[in-house]
Amino acid sequence: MAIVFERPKSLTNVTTHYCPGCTHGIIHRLIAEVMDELDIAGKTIGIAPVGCSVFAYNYFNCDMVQAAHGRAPAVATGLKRALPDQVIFSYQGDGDLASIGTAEIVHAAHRGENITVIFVNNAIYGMTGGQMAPTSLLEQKTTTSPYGRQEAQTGKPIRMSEMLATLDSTALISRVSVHNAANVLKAKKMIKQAFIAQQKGLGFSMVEVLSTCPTNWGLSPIEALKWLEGNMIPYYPLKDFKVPEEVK
Amino acid sequence: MAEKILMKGNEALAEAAVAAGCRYFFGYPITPQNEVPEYMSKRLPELKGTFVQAESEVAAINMVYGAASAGVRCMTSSSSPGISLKQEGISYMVGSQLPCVVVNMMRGGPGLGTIQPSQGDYFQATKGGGHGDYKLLVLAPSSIQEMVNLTMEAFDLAEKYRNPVMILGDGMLGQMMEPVIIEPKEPALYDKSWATTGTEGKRKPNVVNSLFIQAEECEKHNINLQEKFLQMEQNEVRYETLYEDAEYFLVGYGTTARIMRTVVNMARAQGLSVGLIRPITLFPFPHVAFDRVASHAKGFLVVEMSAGQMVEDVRLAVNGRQPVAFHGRTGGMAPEPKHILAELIKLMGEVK
Amino acid sequence: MFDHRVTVFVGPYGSGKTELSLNVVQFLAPQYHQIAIVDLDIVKPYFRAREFRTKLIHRDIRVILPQGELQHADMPSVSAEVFTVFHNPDLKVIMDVGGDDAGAVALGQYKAQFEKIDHEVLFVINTRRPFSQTADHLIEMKERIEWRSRLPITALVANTNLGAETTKETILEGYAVAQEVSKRTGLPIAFVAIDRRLHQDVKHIIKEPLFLVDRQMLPPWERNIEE
Ligand SMILES: Cc1ncc(C[n+]2csc(CCOP(=O)(O)OP(=O)(O)O)c2C)c(N)n1
Ligand code: SF4
Ligand SMILES: [Mg+2]
Repeated sequence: MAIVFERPKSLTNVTTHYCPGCTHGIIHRLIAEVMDELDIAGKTIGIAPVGCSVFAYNYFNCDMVQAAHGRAPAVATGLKRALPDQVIFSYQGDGDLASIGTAEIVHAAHRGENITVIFVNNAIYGMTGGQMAPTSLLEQKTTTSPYGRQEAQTGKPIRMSEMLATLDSTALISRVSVHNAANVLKAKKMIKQAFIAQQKGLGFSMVEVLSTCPTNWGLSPIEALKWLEGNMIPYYPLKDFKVPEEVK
Repeated sequence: MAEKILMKGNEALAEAAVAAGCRYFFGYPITPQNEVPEYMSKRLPELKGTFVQAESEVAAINMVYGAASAGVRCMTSSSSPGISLKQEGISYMVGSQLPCVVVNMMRGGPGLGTIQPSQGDYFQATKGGGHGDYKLLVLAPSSIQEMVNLTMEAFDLAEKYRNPVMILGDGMLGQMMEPVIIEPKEPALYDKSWATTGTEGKRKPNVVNSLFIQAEECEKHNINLQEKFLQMEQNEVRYETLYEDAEYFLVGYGTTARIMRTVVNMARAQGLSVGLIRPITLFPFPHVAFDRVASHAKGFLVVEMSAGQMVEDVRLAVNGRQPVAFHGRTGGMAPEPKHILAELIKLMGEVK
Repeated sequence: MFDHRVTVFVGPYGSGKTELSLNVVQFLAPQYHQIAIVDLDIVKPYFRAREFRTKLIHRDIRVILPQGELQHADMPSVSAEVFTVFHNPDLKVIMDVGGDDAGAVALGQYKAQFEKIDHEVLFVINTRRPFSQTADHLIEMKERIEWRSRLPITALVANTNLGAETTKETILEGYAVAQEVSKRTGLPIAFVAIDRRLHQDVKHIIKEPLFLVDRQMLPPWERNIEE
């Protein structure tokens, strides 16, 4: 899938622990490329969540802080308030951001914190072994929805971008995907715009990236990309909910 | 602000934090500590500092975690129910070796309890509180001036040990007014080379982290932490003893110790040989205060605004050498001098 | 002093309104057939007038407060009984209002009633309190209180003290600032409140009437000794 280019300077020379075909790695790479292109690695502090990307602090070649499950937006708030001239981003999964950390994300957005959030939605709890997430699709089988997710018991999947876009204080909200080359390019462009929005002091920016979890979805990497395209995108449309003119 | 002014405990504590160089405060309203965030919301903008009213105590302590990662002096404050919510963050701060000051103006519990003062969070404060093997340095002032002094020192201690320090007060200390002097002080300079402030291309990245996935690594980390707690026990023990040559001792901290001073005077006026041992650090607990009187003491009466928490530490310190009695009030009630005196006389009768 | 039917104490947070209200109402009680203290403090959780209820009732002073369980509640409840203050022309009333503009807002709802009765609104000044040390600070607070309470302040009370550590100098220094506020706002100083123990020291120096205060709001370790 993704062609192997030269390693961005903003990534460390460490082999990641991600499963083969997992798109977490691609998203890391996009962030690193953006950091290189904007030449901000020296002034960036990233926040690793609890989830499969917990070791992100080993992979990004910049200062990193590991946060408790779901609390990354609050940690980002503290960092940004103390270091207003630095670039602060959090990297969060869907269990982290859309379940245990909903209060923190909603209020960082509501305060219009000038931070950038990369929200990796793979419709499942990857790290803990494939349990249902609030973002899991109806009928999706997980280890805690063995009969498929049922609306009667668990409601319908939560759409965080749509929800946060309703908050007047958010500056940039967009949903992108990394299931093919064209979308990878679009995703990178949006991640870059999100970082620029922060550098311009425009306020809260979040890019939701649809991502795969071949291991817990029980699919091959290629099948997983197809599943994402065929099942996730219809429910989670790729869309720029809000993109400020200043970063286009 | 070098002249004496009349301040509420909560206000004085907030101004003391400012005087110690704290410019970042994150909190959430809860009685009886609201004057702390209110004061900070007025004061910090004057100093180009930051006050954030967080969406919850969970968020507040994590904002502190972020600000502390940046190496700045920061604080959060709350009262019992809110402190429960902060435990996750406090445990992470210890694990990540981050300095900060956490204030608990205790109120009666459990649950929503009452807004009246209590000392029911002693176990939570001194025995860890959150998950994992850890300790906070816990300072227990018993007057507003002492609260000012200890708060200012707390910031230094937090940075010295790279560990959260808790000021354990109660609603009474937070709400009452006393004259105080607050003299701003240049913060002591501690190494901050670990802070995540951006590499600026000049050094290797720093990582603030409490995850050590290999058991061997995590054990090593724990051994290092325990070494710090041991150093605290060696260097930071503080207490006050009144009438060290007395036969009987009242033992208490914070507001309760204030009440007991009155009782000591009442008892001595009746010719009774009574002193007071007042722990100022609750962790590390001042075992030495009990050792020093071991050869002549005949008994101890521990008084708390709880059903009996610190009394366990006193029993460990006394180690069976003398009887240790207990008198406690709960739910927001304060012990009364006459009742304490009666308990004391009862203890004396039992010993003789 | 106190020649209006209703006296309302407002002022910065912690300036001593409750201590004054308690002292004044007990001082006046023997002279009035019907007298009441109203606790309108919605901001302060401890040391409110309501804690002295039993003692006051013993002296035939009506205590108007949030009732029953709500007495100690963590909420800004105000009793409907407050309206009797306005409707009973024979009732002498001392009103203790919460501090700052945040506390004074509780008065706003009674604007129409106040307009119809004989009242004074006294602004209590303690210059040894934070944010109260200069005339500028005090005048700004006075204006904010007037705006939020929708009631004009009619006079000042100089109440500078350091609790048990008050000295003659403390009183005189605060008195000077109160005089400056008086000059700049045109409001008279209704009286100077001083600790009874310092009466001899200052009585010849201050030209305004003096009101002697006995500290009542004591922490538990000072409160219980005599009982
Ligand atoms: C307080 C707390 N509760 C639960 C966990 C266990 N846990 C670790 S990761 C995780 C879910 C992560 O899922 P997600 O955020 O979607 O990230 P992914 O692994 O899918 O990238 C959970 C529940 C934890 N670490 N902390
Ligand atoms: S479990 Fe899923 S999300 Fe986690 S690394 Fe493997 S494929 Fe990626
Ligand atoms: Mg996930």
